[in-house]
Amino acid sequence: MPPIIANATSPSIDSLAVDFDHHRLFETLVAGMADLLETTAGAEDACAYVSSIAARLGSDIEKQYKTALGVQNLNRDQLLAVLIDLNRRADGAFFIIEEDEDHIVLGNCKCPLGQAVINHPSLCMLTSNIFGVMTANAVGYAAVDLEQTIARGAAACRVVLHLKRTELHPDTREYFRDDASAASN
Amino acid sequence: MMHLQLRTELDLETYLEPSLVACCDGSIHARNRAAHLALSPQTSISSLFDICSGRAEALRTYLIRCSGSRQPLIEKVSFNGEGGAFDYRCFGNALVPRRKSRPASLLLRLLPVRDARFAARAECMKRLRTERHWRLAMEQSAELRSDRLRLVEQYCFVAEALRVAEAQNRRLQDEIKHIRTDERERIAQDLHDHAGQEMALVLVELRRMRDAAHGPARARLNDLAVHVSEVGRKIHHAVVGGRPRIVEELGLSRAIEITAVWFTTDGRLDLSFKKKGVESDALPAALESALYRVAQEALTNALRHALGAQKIDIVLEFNCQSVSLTIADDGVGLSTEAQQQGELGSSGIGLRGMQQRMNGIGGTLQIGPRFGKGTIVTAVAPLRPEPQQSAPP
Repeated sequence: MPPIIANATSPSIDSLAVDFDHHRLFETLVAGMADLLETTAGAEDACAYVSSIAARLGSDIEKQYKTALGVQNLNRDQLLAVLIDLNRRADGAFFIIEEDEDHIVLGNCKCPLGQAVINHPSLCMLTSNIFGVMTANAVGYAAVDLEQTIARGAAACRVVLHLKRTELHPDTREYFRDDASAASN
Repeated sequence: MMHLQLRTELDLETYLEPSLVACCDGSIHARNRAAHLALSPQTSISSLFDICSGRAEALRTYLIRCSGSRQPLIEKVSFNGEGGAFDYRCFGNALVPRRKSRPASLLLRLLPVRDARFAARAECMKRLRTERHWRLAMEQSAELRSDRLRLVEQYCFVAEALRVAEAQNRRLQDEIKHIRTDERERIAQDLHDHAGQEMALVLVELRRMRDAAHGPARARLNDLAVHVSEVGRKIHHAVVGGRPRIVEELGLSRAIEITAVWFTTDGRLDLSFKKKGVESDALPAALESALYRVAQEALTNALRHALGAQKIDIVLEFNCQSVSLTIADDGVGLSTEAQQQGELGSSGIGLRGMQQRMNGIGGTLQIGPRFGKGTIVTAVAPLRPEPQQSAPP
């Protein structure tokens, strides 16, 4: 079979206006998997699956930061810096809206998962669990409220980290210092 | 999403799938029946690591992750069971977070790894679930049976209460009957003792005046005497009417004998009637009436209560001082309780009525065990009664 030779008059393939690249691949993959998970396993189980992945990821990231900083545990300032930094590295845009002794409010106008997160709230468990796990291990307790999310159609996310136990809303997720971190304290 | 706080081991039974409460170190605190059946039912296991057929380190890491989350985290785990090692989707979360030296308590729920409709393990779990439902149904059935038994017991209790009430009602009816009879006899006696005597005196005086008078006055007095005599006869009939008619017509001994024959006509009891002494034609009406009623009541009691009785002996004895009536049966006899309560006690309005009748004529009544077997009733009535200390008006 003779080789196919591009016509000199036809445009170059790599210059075609095709909306596909590395980011598009992962966005489509993540959105498709989240969609499939939410529709087949149900929203609750989908959250549990994503939470499991996020809990692993959170522990792993926390371990890396601790090793890099050379500390056993992160203090509150380090924790805030780490949360902002890891989102920056993941191409997110988290910022601190307000903070006091009892809670920290974070905002985000750009999700690290891009367009994939839209209409897939189970993916928000990544944020909830990574923030929750790291905060709980640092200060002992965390409850995460995802008050507004891009996934549910908001222009920006508003995430509240409660550092002391208060009255919980049905959607509030609680995290404790895990036994390994607690034992090392 | 599971936010339930398990308080006791019993709460685990609310989950149909195998469920455990364990610590981060793998020690098992509690498990439900489904977990008991699925995980080494023959042996007691104390740690998840004893039955872990996968990588122990992966399980340890997963348990630690679970200790930090109130929300369930999913992980594939492998445990040995009765038929070998099986994979599960484990939903694990913290129930009670770690406090000081006490490790966190975790709730672990085990579900099939693959689609529940196709996995063999799921089939097994489905069977176990069915068996559990069946057991629950059997327990409910047992409760229903127990309820039915309680209802039957309550029905029996109510029926017994009704029976007692009916018996009490019968006793009250008897008492009313006795009271009516007594009142009737008392009125008759009063008429005889007072109005009758007065009428007799008036008649005697009228006759004397009639005999002494002449002309139209004599005729008028004669009419008055006839009229008074007629009134006296009516009073006599009223007095006689208060007594048992059979006694009036046949006399005391014959009336008692005939009545006893009536009581024994069904052939269940043999009757022996003996009359001793000479029966006077002028026995007081009250005495005849009282003895006849006592005989009637004693025969009734013998028929009703003398279980196993085969024979009744009646002896009516007349002498110059008194008349005695003895009625004996060979039944089971009076109960000890009845005897302890006195000669008559409260064993029935019939016995009390008998006693009252005999008291009313100055007589005595004794009821007790017969020598050998049975009960004997002895009523003695004096022919000239002594004045009663507390006789009823």
